[in-house]
Amino acid sequence: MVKVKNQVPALMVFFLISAAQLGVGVLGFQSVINKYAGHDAWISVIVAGLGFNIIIWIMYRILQNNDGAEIVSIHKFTYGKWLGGILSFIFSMYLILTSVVVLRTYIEIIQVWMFPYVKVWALLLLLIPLIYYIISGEFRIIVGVCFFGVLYPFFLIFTLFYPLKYSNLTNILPILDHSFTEILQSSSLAIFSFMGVSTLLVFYPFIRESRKSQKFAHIGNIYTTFLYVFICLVSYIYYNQSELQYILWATLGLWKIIEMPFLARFEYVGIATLFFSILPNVALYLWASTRSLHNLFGISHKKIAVFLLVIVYIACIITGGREFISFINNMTGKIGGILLFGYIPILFLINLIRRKVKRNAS
Amino acid sequence: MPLKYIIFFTFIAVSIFANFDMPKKIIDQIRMATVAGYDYVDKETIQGTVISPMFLQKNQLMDSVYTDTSSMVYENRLKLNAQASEQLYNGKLEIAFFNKELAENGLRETLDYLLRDPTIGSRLYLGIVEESAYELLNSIDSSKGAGFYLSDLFEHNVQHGNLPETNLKMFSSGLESKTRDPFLPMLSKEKGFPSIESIAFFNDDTLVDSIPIEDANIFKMLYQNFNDGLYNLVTENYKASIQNVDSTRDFHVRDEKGSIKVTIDVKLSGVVREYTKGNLTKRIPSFEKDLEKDFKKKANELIKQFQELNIDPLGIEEHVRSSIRTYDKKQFKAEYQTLPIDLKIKFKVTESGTRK
Repeated sequence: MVKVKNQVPALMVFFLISAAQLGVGVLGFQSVINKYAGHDAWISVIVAGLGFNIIIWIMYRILQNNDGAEIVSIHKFTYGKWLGGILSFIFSMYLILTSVVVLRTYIEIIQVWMFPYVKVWALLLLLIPLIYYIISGEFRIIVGVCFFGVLYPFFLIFTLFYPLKYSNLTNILPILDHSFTEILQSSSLAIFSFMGVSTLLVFYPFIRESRKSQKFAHIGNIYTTFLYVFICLVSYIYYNQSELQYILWATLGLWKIIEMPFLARFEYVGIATLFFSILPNVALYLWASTRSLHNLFGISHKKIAVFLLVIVYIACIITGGREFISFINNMTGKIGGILLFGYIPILFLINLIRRKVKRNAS
Repeated sequence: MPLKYIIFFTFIAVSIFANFDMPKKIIDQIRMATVAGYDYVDKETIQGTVISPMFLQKNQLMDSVYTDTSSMVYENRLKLNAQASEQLYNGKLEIAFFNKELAENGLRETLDYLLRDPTIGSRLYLGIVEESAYELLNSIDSSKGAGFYLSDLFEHNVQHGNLPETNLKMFSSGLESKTRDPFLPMLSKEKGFPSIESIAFFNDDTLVDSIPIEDANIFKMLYQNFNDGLYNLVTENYKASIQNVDSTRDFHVRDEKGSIKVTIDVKLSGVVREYTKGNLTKRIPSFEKDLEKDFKKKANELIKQFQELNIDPLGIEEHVRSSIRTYDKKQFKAEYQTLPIDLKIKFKVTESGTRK
């Protein structure tokens, strides 16, 4: 069990969930999710957000049924040592993959928008010690980073009022012009932007009075949904749909219209500020992965952290190029969708049956 | 423990040293291009001109003009860099010009680099030059520098004059949109210095028509809401000028048994600044009627002109698409040229200045 002194208040779940969800997805999801639903894709974001509220509810049922255990011991209890171990291992691999995707995508943005000549291997050397410092210590450090990761980038929301002057409301009219299936298909593409909630399965034992924290998790998810819907709406009235086809990072594109007397390009401030939201993202995923592997193999937390950072470092260097990065982004989104909307409900059911069987047997 | 910190510091030191030789852009050692102009030479070749200011001392600068021909913009930039004393960058680009011939052959290819470069803002102004962009750029003699001179010229005309809101983002929106066509201001140096002469209308990315800037206020008031316009009325009996024209326009689209009905509702109000026939206050109602009639006539002519050319800079199709769920692109395209467009004009004269 986790000591009370290492636990954090239930309110912090709000920051953990929001910080885990707001990542690189926010920069360019607009031109991805409109594939099926076109200008109605902002409704898909709401649908995805509601879907994630259900998933959070299921996660809490699983976690509470098992008296606040985390994913590795739930797996062990449900499937036995070997199968459960393999599934936990796959889960931690998925968390590493996500952190690599987030970090690599952010570095790509630095390369494209700010410093085309930056050496990726050297830039990573600057970030790796920082991430190690965050994930190797106590959980409270992660929570602190997440707290600021939600707080600092908040002011960016005001910059979204700027593009409204050049917007046409007609771009999103008529509302609900697409079928319900199309909207659902689009919301499956929006999953990538929300899937940070999976870390909840790992950090749950670190929450004080964890039963009370469920409402904060839901509020956190609703807060992210609200932000995404707002960003999506602004982008869809600013850009018309045929224009969005050619745009990679629509959110950064919105900032291109901002011009201040002392600041010609706002993107530089925006991208730098978003580092505060990328860092908790990467750190939380990596911490969750480290923690799961630590519980699985019993090797010391710090050693695994070093090992994982080496993997992340190598993975970020060998990957690159728009084509490949967009491919792994889509892949991770799909895997996340299968994990959260396919596997979690199944786990819930199997776990329920397993507990019934065990109770009857004893 | 110390080992950890040694590794940390080595990492950070290596990182800083490794990125130390990144190309530096020190402001004294680069040239910021503020204006770019492109002229049509032949089907494969463009002439690119770039102006870059050099600051000499406080409030003094010298514009250098670089020009050469090539097949695309960055090939051109290479040649221009061969002439420039320092390397040219796009970060401060204020305005870009294309000459009329180039625009008549399509702008999409030349425009691409402006949209692709992350250092170029969306507020960049675009303009068409009737003759040669190179000569227009060469004719500017201003202590502000050509870039600010031209962008200021655009800005006050957008805010208070007849020029509708325009910039790179709005132009590219119109270009990509399937339901509206873009427009750009057209300049000329006939008078020896650059002046905005007309508004050029595009079909997709090719220039097809233009209207003189004096008549552009009708287009502007049909195109956007506006609060500092000017309206001049010339009749057989009298002449009058209205200022501070505050206009709002609304599109009403109705679907009446399969046939689309578009009504443009324009509400204007303004203050009389010039009136050539004595006492105005007694005649205000009939004066307002005259204004409405005049506006309606001109607006109808303008819309007819667009319909004949089969272009849609007002975005009528966009309004139809967004308000009718049964909208069918093919059917609309077939009907557009004969589509009846009603105008409802309400002109209100609020003040008559300091005289009756």
